[in-house]
Amino acid sequence: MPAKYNKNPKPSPTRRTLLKGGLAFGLTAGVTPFAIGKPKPTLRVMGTHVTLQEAIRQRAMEDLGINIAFEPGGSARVLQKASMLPNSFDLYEQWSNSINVLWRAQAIQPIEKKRLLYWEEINNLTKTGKLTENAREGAGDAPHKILHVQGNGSLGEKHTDGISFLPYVHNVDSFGYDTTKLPVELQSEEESWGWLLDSRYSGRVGIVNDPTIGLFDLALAAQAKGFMQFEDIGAITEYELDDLFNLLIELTQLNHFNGFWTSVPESVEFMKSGRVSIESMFSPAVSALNGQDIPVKFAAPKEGYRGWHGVMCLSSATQGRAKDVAYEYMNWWLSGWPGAFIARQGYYISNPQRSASYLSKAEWDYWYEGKVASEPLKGTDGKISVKAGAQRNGGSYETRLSNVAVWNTVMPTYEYSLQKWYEFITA
Amino acid sequence: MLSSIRIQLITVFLALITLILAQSFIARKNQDVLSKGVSSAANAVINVGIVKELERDVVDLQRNVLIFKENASKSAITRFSRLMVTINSKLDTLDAAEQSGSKEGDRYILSRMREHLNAYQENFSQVVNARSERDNLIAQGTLSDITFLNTLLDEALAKGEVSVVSVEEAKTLLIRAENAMLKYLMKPDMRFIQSFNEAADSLKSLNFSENERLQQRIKSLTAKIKGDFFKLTQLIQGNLFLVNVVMAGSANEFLYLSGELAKQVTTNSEVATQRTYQIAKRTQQNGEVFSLIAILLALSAALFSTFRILGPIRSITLVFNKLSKGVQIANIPGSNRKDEIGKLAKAALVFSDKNRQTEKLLHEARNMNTQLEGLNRALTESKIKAEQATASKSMFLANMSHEIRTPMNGIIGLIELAQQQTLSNTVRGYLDKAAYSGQILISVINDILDFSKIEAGKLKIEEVSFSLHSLFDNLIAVIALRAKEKNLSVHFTVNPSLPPQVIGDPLRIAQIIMNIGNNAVKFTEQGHVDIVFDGTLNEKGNVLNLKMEVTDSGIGMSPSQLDRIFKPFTQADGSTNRKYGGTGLGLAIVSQLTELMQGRLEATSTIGKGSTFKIELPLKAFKNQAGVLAQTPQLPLDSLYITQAPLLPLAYCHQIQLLEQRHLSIEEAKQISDLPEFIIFDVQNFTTFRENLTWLKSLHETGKSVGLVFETAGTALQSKYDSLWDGPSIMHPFTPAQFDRFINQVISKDARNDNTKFDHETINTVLEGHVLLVEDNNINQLVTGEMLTNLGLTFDIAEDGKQAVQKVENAPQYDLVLMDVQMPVMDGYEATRLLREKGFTGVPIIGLSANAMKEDRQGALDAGMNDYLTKPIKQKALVTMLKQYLGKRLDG
Repeated sequence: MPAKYNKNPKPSPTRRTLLKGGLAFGLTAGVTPFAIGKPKPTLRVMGTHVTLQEAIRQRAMEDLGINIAFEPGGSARVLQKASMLPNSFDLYEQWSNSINVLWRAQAIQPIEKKRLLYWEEINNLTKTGKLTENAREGAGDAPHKILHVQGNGSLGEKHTDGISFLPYVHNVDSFGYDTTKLPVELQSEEESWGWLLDSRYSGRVGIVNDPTIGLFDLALAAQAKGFMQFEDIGAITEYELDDLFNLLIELTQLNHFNGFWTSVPESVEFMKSGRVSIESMFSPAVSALNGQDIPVKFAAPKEGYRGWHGVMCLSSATQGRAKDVAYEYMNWWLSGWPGAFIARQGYYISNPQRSASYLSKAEWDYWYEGKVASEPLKGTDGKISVKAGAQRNGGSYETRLSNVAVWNTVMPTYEYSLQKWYEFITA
Repeated sequence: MLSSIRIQLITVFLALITLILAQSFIARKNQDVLSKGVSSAANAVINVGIVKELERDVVDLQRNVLIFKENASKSAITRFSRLMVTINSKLDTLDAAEQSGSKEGDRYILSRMREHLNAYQENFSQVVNARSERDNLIAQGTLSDITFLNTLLDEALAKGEVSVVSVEEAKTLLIRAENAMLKYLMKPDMRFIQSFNEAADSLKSLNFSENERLQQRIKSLTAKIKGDFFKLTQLIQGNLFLVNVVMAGSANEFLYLSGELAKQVTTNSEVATQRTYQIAKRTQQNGEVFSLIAILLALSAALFSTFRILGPIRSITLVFNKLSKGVQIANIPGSNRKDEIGKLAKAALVFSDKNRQTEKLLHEARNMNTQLEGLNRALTESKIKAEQATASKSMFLANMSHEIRTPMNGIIGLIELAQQQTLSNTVRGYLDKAAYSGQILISVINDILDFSKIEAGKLKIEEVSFSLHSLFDNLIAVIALRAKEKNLSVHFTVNPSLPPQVIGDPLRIAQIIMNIGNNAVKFTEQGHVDIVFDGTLNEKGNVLNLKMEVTDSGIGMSPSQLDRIFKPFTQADGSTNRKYGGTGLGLAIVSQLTELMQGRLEATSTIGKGSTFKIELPLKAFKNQAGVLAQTPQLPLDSLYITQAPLLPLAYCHQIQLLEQRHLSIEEAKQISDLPEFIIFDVQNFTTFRENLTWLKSLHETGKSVGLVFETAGTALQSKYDSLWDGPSIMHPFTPAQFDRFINQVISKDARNDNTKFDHETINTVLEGHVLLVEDNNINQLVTGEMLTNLGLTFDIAEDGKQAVQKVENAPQYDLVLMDVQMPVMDGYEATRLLREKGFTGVPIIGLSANAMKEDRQGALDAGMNDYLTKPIKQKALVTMLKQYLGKRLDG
């Protein structure tokens, strides 16, 4: 990595360059530059395990010369805590579906675009909603719809100087399945969300236990199966929910679903133990299973993906020096190394080109270009997670992100869906 | 290695022990496995029970969570926490159970259950907190604020600060907001939030222009109500999410996991039971197999013992029994085996062979015994016969000697008498030869007698004190006579320091020495015979080891001849016998006598050159005696010894102080004008004597004392010397005593020739006395009577002992009695005893006997005789004897 570091035409801000930059910006932004002799500030980051990884923390502390405290937790818990106690964190990292809650709760403050070093490099996914010209926008809370802080204090598509979150990690999810356990009848078929509700998988299906995510998997599946059609799958009505859950509860009672996982390791365990043959999955779980020689394929459903977008939000309570450090951390995240790091988990970064120089050609080709791996590739844990000759299902970054069927979303029927979800999973 | 039964047996026993140990070990293990299996099965049942209880408890938890969600019941919280404690303790129990060696999967499940449970508890506490916050928000926040706004509006209306229309409108909005809130509380829905927010926003935008202060107050209150309501919705949403999604999911997963656990526990227990059953079955089978093997092994051990050990041992025992009873065994079983049985069989074989050998030996021994007994008998008989024969032989010899001696006595006596008569030369010559033959015959008889006596062990060595001088005298007398006849040079040398008086058997010593000396002379035709006497005293000085060495220049002997000479009836050569005569007993007697005296005899010889005989005899000697020549006076130091080669032994010269520097040749001596007073002159031969006689005589005339030493010379030559030289002289061989006399003569210048000759003396002896001659033999009466008459004695004759006694009794004037021992009627001993008993003790009685044996002499002395003469009576011996007894009487 360090060898490639110098090749970078536009070096990422190390501690020194940040100091310079900080100084430069400091004059205009009126922020106090770092002064030697002061105790190291501690940045408090709240979020989930997806991005709150120890390797990232260590690297960030090393690069930035600050202390960083991670507070990872379950998504619901951290969301509630963050929304109600803004002073318990400086930065909040989760998914775009939490933005509305946080924003309404005024737990976060707008991020100034001008303090983001790499704003210009951030691609169009979050700026226009279309990564490519012909890209599908995707139903639900598409990130570009909730990025900019509008004049009336709400969040909207119109570009302003302030943004509700820093666009960074994102991906499209689908379901994963054990290729050895794929029913014969389905082998010739194109991958479809409908497989989740296929009776041939009965008793061996796992669903993520989160209505803002799993509900869409199931809705896409029901729609793909032709059981029902949704007016707007990003805003399912109570009636539609009633119909959907009537169907799902029926299936639950037929023991169609084997389990509902709440964490990535749990989803790995589900598949690894053979408890399920098909389940809602996140990219790291697929990498982990493949690394353990379990032939799980991350499907590229013909109906399109369920997209998700990571958000990094600045606490409304964070001011002064802590806020400066928070900006440094945000800038560091887009400086290349972190993007390369999470690329090895299958995640994308909003400014991929800066991370390209931190990835080998083979890695870039596999992860971003969707090409065949020319050599065995290591995961974030240093173990081989991609064998030579493997190819990422669904193609290149652009292809995949141009085919998002629905984004993870908190719908107006959220509370109702919670009631129904309870009925569903305890049925 | 396995050829030994011991090792075979040990191997079998070890195998059995191992099997038994293995079996017991297996049985124990089986027991262990079974009990473990049973207990694990029991545990599994218990565990399944616990899991089921867990499921129930979790369901109960969920129920309580729902109860709490519905009415925030405190008892639900209490119940929840109690259930948590129970569940945790049950999980601990299961964990402890699983800890004892179950699969990783179970532990994993348990840890995940715990995770879920902890999350559930955490979430519930969040729910509880949120719920109380919600209630608080409702009571203290939104609801009270709405009430407060109502009151505020009423007050303003009462004060007339606001219009009734505005108040009504505001109140309507407040009611709408309250309604929306209550509806949301009843059923959380975005629509109610929206209607609440719409009402709140409308309230905020109401225009109370007439009262700016009120307007502001309502605005801020509305904002607070709105914020509180947002919080309320957040809490409700959060709780909904927590309870409906997160907690439900946890509980779901927990229940799933507990189901899995129950399944697994059951499966495990089933597997364990199955395994236990299988192990039990297998171990039982193993045990059976082991038992079977053990039984087979035991059986084979028994069979092995029976057929390989006990059977053979019994047959071997039978074999040994038979062997011990002496029954012969032709075939021994098992002898080709290599183990102990084989060894036993071989031992039996050996035993049997030994038996056979022993029997054979016994048989042979019996035969031998029989033979031995026969031999013994024969031996005893032979011994008896031999003893009888010896006795007869001795008897015969005694008789023979007597019978031969008696006539010989007569012959020799008569010859001697005849020689005394004046006879013609021819007759004298005949008589001389007859006398010589008689002497030879007597000596032969004596030899035979001696030898047979020695053979019969009847010869006793005497121990009496005697003088070596007399021994030397006798020796020289005999040797010199014969040597002179053969013209041999005989030198006789005695160590001057030799003690003269010793104790021993002079007769036998003389016999030995005479024999050797005679032999030397006998077997030497020309040359010389040297006789040397030497001797050494022992440390105490009381035993003299007398040594005699006789060297001759005679015919000599070969080694093989040397070996034979000491055997009886043997001479060096068969031809010597014819040439030199003799019985061949001489050296045998010498040898045996030497042996009897504990002496040593040694002979060396070179054929044609001569022989040397060495004799050593241990003799008791008196201490501190002067040597044989100690008394001999010494010549003055200036005395001369004129000689070419000294004839005197050097020791003698030293003895008389005739030192070597005074030895001069004749020529040298003649040139000396003034010769010393004493001169010894060697005369080697007659020529020397004749050439120097004048000179010697002139010396003698001038008063010098000249002693001549002659080499041995014949009788004729000796007579010539004697007639021509009347000074002191001495001739080889001479005794120390003769040498002593010679020196004395030289010193005293007295040349009187002391040539006492027995012959002359005997003839001239005249005795006085009346003798009774007791003799039964008429010839002996004649011979002895003639001898007595010649001596001037008168005599009576008694025919036997009885007559003798009568005659003594009748005329007791006899001066001496000559008593023959063996006589008819009454023998000499008897007669002597009787005479002594009758009181005739003064008269000397001399025994006469042809019996040359020593016992006779002792017997004679015992009977009371004074002395004893051996027949044939020699005149010389008779004269000596009579002189001894009658001389006294004359003196007396």
